[in-house]
Amino acid sequence: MANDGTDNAGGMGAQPQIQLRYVGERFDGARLPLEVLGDLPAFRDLLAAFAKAAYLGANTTRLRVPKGFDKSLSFNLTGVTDGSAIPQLQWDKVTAQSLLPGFEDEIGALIDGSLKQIVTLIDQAANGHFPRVLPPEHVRALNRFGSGLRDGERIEFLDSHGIDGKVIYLDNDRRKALITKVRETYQTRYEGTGTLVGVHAANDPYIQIETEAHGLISIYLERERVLQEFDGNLGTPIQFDVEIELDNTDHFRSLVEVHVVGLIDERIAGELQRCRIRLDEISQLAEGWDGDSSYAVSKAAFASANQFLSRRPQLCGNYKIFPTVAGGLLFEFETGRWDLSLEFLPDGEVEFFGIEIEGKGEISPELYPEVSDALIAELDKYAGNNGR
Amino acid sequence: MQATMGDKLINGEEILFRQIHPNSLESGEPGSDRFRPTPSDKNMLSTDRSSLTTAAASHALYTSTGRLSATVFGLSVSEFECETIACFEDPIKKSETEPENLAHALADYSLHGEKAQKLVAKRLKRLAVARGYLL
Repeated sequence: MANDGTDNAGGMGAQPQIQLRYVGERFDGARLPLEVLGDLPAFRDLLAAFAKAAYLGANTTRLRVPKGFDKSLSFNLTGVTDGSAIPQLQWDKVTAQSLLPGFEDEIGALIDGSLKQIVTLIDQAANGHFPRVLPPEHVRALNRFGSGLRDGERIEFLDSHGIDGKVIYLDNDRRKALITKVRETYQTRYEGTGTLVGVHAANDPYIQIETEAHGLISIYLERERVLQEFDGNLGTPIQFDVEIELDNTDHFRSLVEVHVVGLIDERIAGELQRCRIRLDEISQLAEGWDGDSSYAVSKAAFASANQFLSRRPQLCGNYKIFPTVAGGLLFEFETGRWDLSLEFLPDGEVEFFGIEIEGKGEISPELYPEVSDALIAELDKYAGNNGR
Repeated sequence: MQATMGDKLINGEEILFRQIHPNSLESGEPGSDRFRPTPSDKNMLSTDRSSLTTAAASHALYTSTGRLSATVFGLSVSEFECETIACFEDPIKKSETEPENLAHALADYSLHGEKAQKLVAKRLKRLAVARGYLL
């Protein structure tokens, strides 16, 4: 079946087949990190939204779906199989039979049809074709589906074939394109460090953090926490992990959810400051600082390095920072059994490599276009608990 | 002007000196990039031979041209060989821009690609740091 969804659609009475395949190193060996599990109910909600629309479209005399319709679209996660990770989603036909006796085949067909619509929507988006508008229920579910993906990861719809003949998949680029075309904003995870610049304990207590990428972000918290944890700490570094809403030009619109926010430990803050001072010293080096073939470190390399410092401040105490004659920066540090290096190239790209301290293990240099989620995930594999 | 590369160094115990720029040293530790050739070095890392000079004399000669070196680290010929890096005599004759340096030698990284050189350099740096400052 070309460009319109799955091959295993099944007919009336067949059990709908839903095969999502999570691809990325994080999913190797049938691992499904808890933070992506939220994708599954989001996917179910997206499917339900299409199914309801299809039902009402086919039954124009009805204003709403029959009682029990939504619950009849229940799914069970029966396991996760290898490849990188394939959650086994099974439609709960028994529940559907009990809620809507004699209606289960129609529900099954609606699920099949909805799945086709979802993969078609994603495939068309990948090829620059977008629906002018989607109902809010669809957009809400679409906004949640895949929000836990990192750069370089994707969710494939197994046995589907897109316009290009390849399997249809959803990744961050496609999500962003799709969501911002059918609405003006999209949600994404933002992890980093900033500076506490405001503490407001009066009505609706909140703190304000000055961030590098998105400016001032206000985070509403319980009054007790604002007073006990943040009051009196203006100017202190803060680490955060939040879900934010950005517009289609990546400008901050709103805070959606706070996963983690807290003052950075005094020792870590001191080390972070040490690293920033070291970078500042290196920024003074002019072309020719080490002979004719040496260049001043580029702004792009500094920007990448600063971004990296914000992503993993806990490791700052380990970093040794050096300029390279090519105009880049080299971070070197030991963590656990690894001696690691991050080389920030003059164009802002980052190369990650390392050697085992005692053994013969090697991490061959891998180039990343920026300080991406994929780079941080790779680093965390070796930095272990110290990395977070 | 550099003369043509000479004979291969065969005494595995001979230490080859490596100058470290002050900005490539943090908390007493050098960057591993100092143990690999830069693109302009064309796979050849510059060193000085301990059989023909001392670390102090090597440092003095290097800095006499205005170049900066905070300290001197060293690696043995056999440590290079363990990484499939052969070392060769490369005496430098006096020129308008460079003083004579009969102790100069080159470590040949050409059997390794750019990526592999980065890993080799990390291992060699660890050996050099374990040996300690030679100045």
